[in-house]
Amino acid sequence: MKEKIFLVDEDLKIGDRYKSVLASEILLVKTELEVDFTELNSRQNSIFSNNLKREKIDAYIGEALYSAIRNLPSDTLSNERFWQWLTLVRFRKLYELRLKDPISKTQLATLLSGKSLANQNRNFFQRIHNLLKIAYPDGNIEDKFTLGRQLLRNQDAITSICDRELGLNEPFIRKHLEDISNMGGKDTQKYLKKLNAQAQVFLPDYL
Amino acid sequence: MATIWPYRREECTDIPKLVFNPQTKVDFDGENKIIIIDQDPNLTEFSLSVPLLKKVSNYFGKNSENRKIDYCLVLTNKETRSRVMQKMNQKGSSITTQKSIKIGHLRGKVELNIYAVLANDVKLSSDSFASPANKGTILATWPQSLIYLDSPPDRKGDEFPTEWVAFSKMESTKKYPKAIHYVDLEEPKVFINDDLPIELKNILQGNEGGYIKALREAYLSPVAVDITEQLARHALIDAQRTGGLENLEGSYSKLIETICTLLTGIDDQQEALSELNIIVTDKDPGRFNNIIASTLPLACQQLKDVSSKLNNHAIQKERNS
Repeated sequence: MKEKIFLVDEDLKIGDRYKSVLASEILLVKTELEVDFTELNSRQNSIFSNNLKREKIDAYIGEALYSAIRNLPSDTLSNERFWQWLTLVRFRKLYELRLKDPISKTQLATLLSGKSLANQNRNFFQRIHNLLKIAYPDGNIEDKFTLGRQLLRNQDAITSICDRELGLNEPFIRKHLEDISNMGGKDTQKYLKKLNAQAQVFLPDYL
Repeated sequence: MATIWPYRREECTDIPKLVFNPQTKVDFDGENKIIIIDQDPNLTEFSLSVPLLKKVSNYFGKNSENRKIDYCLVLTNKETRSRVMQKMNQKGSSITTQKSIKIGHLRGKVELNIYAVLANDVKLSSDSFASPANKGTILATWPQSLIYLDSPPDRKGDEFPTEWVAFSKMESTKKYPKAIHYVDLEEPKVFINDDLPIELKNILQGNEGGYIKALREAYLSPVAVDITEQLARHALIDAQRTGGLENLEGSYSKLIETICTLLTGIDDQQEALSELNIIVTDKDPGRFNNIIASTLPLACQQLKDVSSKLNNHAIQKERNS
């Protein structure tokens, strides 16, 4: 069932308000955009009932989250207030479960996103989207989400790719995703460093 | 640390020239920054051109006819996580975008970089580290241009509280009716003389870009340096009197945090603050007096970077003439 999208309508950074404000007290503005969160809701319920471990959540919800929001306009997906609503209001319980520490002790960008590439990638929901947008640009998940699941299990892949400017060159980085998905943390970092070095010498569009 | 390329890479110095569609109002802020003042996002677009240096076209010397070079514009917008590469056309002695580039759908800051790259793999007659041979190798770069898509905030004379007051009517300034500015260190607040001639006031209080902006900055930039120096000197003397920098509050505290690296020559801000605190609380006032007398004026000039701002306008004038 489709539901309306909201945006946070206040600056939650002021006085660290995000740390203490209740979901019901956050000022919101309703948009005309609609999404279907049925599958994500179902996954969320399953996580709670099966006590899924924190580190497995990304790979478990990735496909449902990406499929639900991928058709939203780019100005919404690049709006930190959208991610704040998703994080602190709509899927707050799920997000809290994913966090290592309580909200009051969590770093600002992990909850509120931000403008820099790195801060856009601190919010767990947003970085799932960022990475899957590279892996499945048309939204056609024809591999039963094998690549996406593998990548989302590799936290170094998520941060190493999407924190860097290189990650904006989606066609180029897409060619390497298969290899990266099978790597361990250190190998991923090494591999990305090598690609980054290449991009200093060659225009990656030609590689 | 400078990057050492595996071969010679040209770094061209000509600033790319950007032309926007008539519906988009822009302010050229310095040599490579363009601020969009007013736009219809559906129409906002630009074209770009830049002189082609002979060095690039003759990169391979006598064999240059056999080498094909592509000129590429890469547009990056981090806020929307977008990146677009477009090949450019070579027309005579310059390179230009093939068509106008729409940017109204982007947000914040747009970065533009131009590269000359090897279009195909080439076989070299002799092994040479100095000659690139692989397709896509970057041969030359041009200075980066930046487009700011969001409207600039109103120019209210910096974030510091500022008020226009007739100096002839204020007790502390009435004997100085031709003075430009006065800093009330207690509040603290900056007063600018409302008795200045109306023509000059129109320029200083206006919001126009171009040469009017250049004139405004030429007048106000040295004033800003002087105000900064007065405030910083007051903060340092106050810190000395009250026993340390930790006793400073509000804008005084912020200013000292900003300028401490310049005053001490220490790059790390925390270390610089600690060192400055030692100087301020030292029983021997020698180093403190030296900072107040000599280092502080230099640090304020460096902080406000007046020369670069004014030079940007000079470069703009050169380009337009």
